[in-house]
Amino acid sequence: MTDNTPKLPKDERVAVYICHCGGNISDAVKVEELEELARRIPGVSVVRRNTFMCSDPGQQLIIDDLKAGNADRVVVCACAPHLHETTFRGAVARGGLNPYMYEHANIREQVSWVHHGPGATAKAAKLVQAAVAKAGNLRALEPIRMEARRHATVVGGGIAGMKAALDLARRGIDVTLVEKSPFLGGNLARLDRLFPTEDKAADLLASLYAQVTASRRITVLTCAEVVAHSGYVGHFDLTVRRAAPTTTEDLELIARFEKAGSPLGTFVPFVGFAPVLPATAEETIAVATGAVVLAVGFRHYVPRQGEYGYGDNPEVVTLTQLIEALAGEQPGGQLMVNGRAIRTMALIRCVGSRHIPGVDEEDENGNLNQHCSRVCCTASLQAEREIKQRFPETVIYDFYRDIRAYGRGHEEYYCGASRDGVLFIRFEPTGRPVVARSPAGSDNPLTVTVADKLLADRELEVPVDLVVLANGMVPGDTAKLVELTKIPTGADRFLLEVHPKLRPVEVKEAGILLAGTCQAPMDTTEACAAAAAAAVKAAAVLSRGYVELDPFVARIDPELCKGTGACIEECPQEGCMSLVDGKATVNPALCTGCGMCVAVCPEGAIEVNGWTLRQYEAMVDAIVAAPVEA
Amino acid sequence: MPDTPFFEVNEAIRSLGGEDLNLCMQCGTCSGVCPWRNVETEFFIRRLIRFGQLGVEGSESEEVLFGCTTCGRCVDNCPRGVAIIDVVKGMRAMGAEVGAMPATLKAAAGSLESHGNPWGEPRAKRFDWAKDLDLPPFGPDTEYLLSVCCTSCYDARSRKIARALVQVLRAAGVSFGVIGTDENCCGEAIRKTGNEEAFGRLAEANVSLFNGRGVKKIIVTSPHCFHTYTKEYPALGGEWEVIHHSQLLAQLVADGRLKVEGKVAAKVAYHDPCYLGRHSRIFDEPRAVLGAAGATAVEMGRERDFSLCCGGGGGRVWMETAHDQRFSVLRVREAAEAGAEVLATACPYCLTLLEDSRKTEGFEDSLEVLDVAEVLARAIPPA
Ligand SMILES: Cc1cc2nc3c(=O)[nH]c(=O)nc-3n(C[C@H](O)[C@H](O)[C@H](O)COP(=O)(O)OP(=O)(O)OC[C@H]3O[C@@H](n4cnc5c(N)ncnc54)[C@H](O)[C@@H]3O)c2cc1C
Ligand code: SF4
Ligand code: SF4
Repeated sequence: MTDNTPKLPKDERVAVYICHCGGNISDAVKVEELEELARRIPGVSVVRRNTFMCSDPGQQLIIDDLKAGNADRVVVCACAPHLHETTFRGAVARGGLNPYMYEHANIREQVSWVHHGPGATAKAAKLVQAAVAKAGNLRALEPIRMEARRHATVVGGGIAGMKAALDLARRGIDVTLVEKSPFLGGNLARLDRLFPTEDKAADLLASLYAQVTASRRITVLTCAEVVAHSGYVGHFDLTVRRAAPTTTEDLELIARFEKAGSPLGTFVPFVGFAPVLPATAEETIAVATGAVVLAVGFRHYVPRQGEYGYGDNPEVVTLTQLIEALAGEQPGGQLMVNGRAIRTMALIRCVGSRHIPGVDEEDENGNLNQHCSRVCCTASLQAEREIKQRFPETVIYDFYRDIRAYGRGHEEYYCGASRDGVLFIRFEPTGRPVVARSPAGSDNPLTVTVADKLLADRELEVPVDLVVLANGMVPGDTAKLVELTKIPTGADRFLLEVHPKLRPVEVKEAGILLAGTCQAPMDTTEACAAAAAAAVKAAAVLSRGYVELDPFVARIDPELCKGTGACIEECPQEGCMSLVDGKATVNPALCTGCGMCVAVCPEGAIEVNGWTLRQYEAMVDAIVAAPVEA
Repeated sequence: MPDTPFFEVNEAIRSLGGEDLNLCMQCGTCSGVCPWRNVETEFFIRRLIRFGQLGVEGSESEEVLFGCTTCGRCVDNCPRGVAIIDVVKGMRAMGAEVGAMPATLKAAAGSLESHGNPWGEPRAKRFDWAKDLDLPPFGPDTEYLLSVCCTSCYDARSRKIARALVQVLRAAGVSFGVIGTDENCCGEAIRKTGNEEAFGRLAEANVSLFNGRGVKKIIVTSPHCFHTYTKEYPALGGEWEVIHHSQLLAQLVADGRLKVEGKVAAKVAYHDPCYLGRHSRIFDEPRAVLGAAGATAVEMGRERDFSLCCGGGGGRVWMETAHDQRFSVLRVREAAEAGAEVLATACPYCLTLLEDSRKTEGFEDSLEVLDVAEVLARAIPPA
């Protein structure tokens, strides 16, 4: 390492593979020509082409060459490394070579997708030259292996959190379940029957709750919040604070719980389960854990004062309030809400969802909810059907923008509600229904006015006894967690996964996983699927007992280090660099390989594995050198 | 002035047969496939349903409330499976209650009441078309009852269909008889105008008449009779083996009972009547009859399930349609463009409307409009 002069490949034998990407590359890059050019690069021992290098036959080329002793390092010229670098490292390992004796040249995103004509092939040749030059300077590396604690922490005790905790415990992982409120069950405890199965939310929760509390591996902490977080996958240290509830929401729930007078551990409708009495004193608990599953859920959108008459008129309620009214006592043959008989009602959809910039008003924090809440459509249809079936005389007008009954069995609710006689009236976001008090002497207290999109914008005036606002889902209060864990949020302010399809429950930081509606609006089916996925991901890492991390971390040459500590000041990862016996040392589990320390070390004593200065210089030299001639 | 939805109207339409009224989600597929999209009109079926759902004004005009020909294109294509024609029927019935019934339809209803046919013709003349044919009365020895559509009983052009059919049946030695002047209109079309009462009377009379005479098998000459006899009478106690003449003729040829010696050397386009094709799924037999007659088939493009309605269903055969709104005009033009010399069909309504349009469009010398029975009769030497 003292010698930073790049060496020219001499004895090294580099195998170069050129991928056509089924025409994605070969349509713009003359691959035959590139193959010829690659052959002339000093140090290259073999060059091959394939339509899809990532296919099994493509990978087999690498394995065969290595097994035959044709090469001792590998360059694949293909798509962006984030797509298939790991694939090809795997092939190198299966060929019997250290997987880090591998370099990747991106000739698709950086060449064929952006250049055409002769320049494309020339640029590809340069990138191949540079990759070969770096390959000549590669060193075998070993992944960093760290011990992993067989313990996970689940934050949030809604259905997703309970499900994740249970699945982890079943795989032999100890779990601490941290729930902010005094109750388990989350928002589901505030529902009655669930679409599309018509299960009772209470029954679903009761079965989970019984298993969670029976499991000797699960420790439940209510009235608890994570207040500090440090460490890395397999080795996180959390601080949890338990304290007496103070929020109005929690206090309301406690009041209902006390009023119900049910014993601990039984379900209280629209509250949940209290495993223990609410905390009265403050305590701080250290949790040593290996993975963290975030299942902190969502909040119901609360309409603004005056939004569709909400807050100004007692006859305007939210869907969640209607669901509660329907679950309560309904003695007569007539629907009663807040003590009023309802003969005609209106339901207005997309309240607090699907906002449009420039059309809708931002909230006090400048936010719009542009997302679709996904569940309110079917939940509304379900409530309407129930009303029509129990109180057939009720006339229901449903004001909608779209009906998004998207899941298995959901469309049946839509058809059913239509069949039952719910009248659907479509409006545009620019022509929302207006709710106003009816003129004196009217039979119904409120009047909804709208232009019917389905009747060439004809103005309709609908007198009603009740207006229900289908309020959607908004992100929970995750600001503190986001600050602690540094995980990203999307434009919709829900927690954001790495890749919606390929890595749907992972975030960038290894060992932290997402479960349920903290990530996006989901119904219970989807929230539980996400929870199961998160549990499996966490268990897969923890049950091995160790974690393997990429070795691309800073390495300090103790001979050169004079202990100036410039690196420690510069390192953005807290706790990663420290002075031990006057020499800088790196905690490889915390190092992200950013290279800040390399830049500030006055002694040139640091390099980042896999990205050494020598390797960089070899690449730069190759790029500025004369092009290889055809 | 804003409208206020009137839910009682919605309920009334549903109780008058339009049960599916609210099942419609207003996607508009119906309006898109409706034959009315071929002409300028105020009639949009989706919008008509919308008026009904909300119980607001807008559907009162004759063109809107009585526009639908009940051709069934929309019903076949509705993603919710809404029984659209029943909704139309319910809305018309609802309209009738408040007196919104076109004069022509009132006249047809009156004639049905007093004469048993919609054309204002005396009952006594119902079998004048067969005066010289010496048709046997239906009795225990006859296999089939030949039940002839009112239109073919009275209309000069349409009578020729019945006569040609008799010629062919005799050539094949089919055992059939007729009942005569006691028969009534099947009531299909008047029912579609929302007049359930008139339908009920006609149907009841026919059912008891046929049952009283011991009828087991019936040959019908109109797809509309076919529809009523097979789909609507069974609920009223009329259960017989009903066959449309195109089916019977195809069967006679296939069984070798009918020897076709001659040949109709003409290019023939076949127009699928809505009630034979879409409604009753009979597509192949009429074509087989034409093939047996030696005709060269030419295609008009809108065939079988996609056939273009002639414009005569749903009571519209009794109503006046403006020249530029007639589907039959489009249809004869299509036949002419396809190079057809004959436009064949198998329904008295279709035939009447197409005949008329052939004349107005100046195809008198180049295009004939014939029933499949007439085409076949030409290939059979007179007895
Ligand atoms: C009106 C309406 C009707 C619905 N009807 C249905 C239906 O019929 N069928 C169906 O399948 N789905 C339905 N849903 C969806 C269903 O409610 C959700 O899918 C489900 O509740 C999601 O569960 P969760 O565990 O992800 O979140 P939540 O239920 O929100 O649970 C999150 C938990 O985390 C806790 N928490 C929050 N922040 C923290 C923190 N920082 N630390 C610790 N704990 C924290 C909360 O207190 C809560 O207990 C409906 C939703 C709505 C809005
Ligand atoms: S689910 Fe339906 S009501 Fe809810 S936001 Fe989406 S479209 Fe609107
Ligand atoms: S039945 Fe035919 S004419 Fe009537 S609305 Fe449907 S498509 Fe149009």
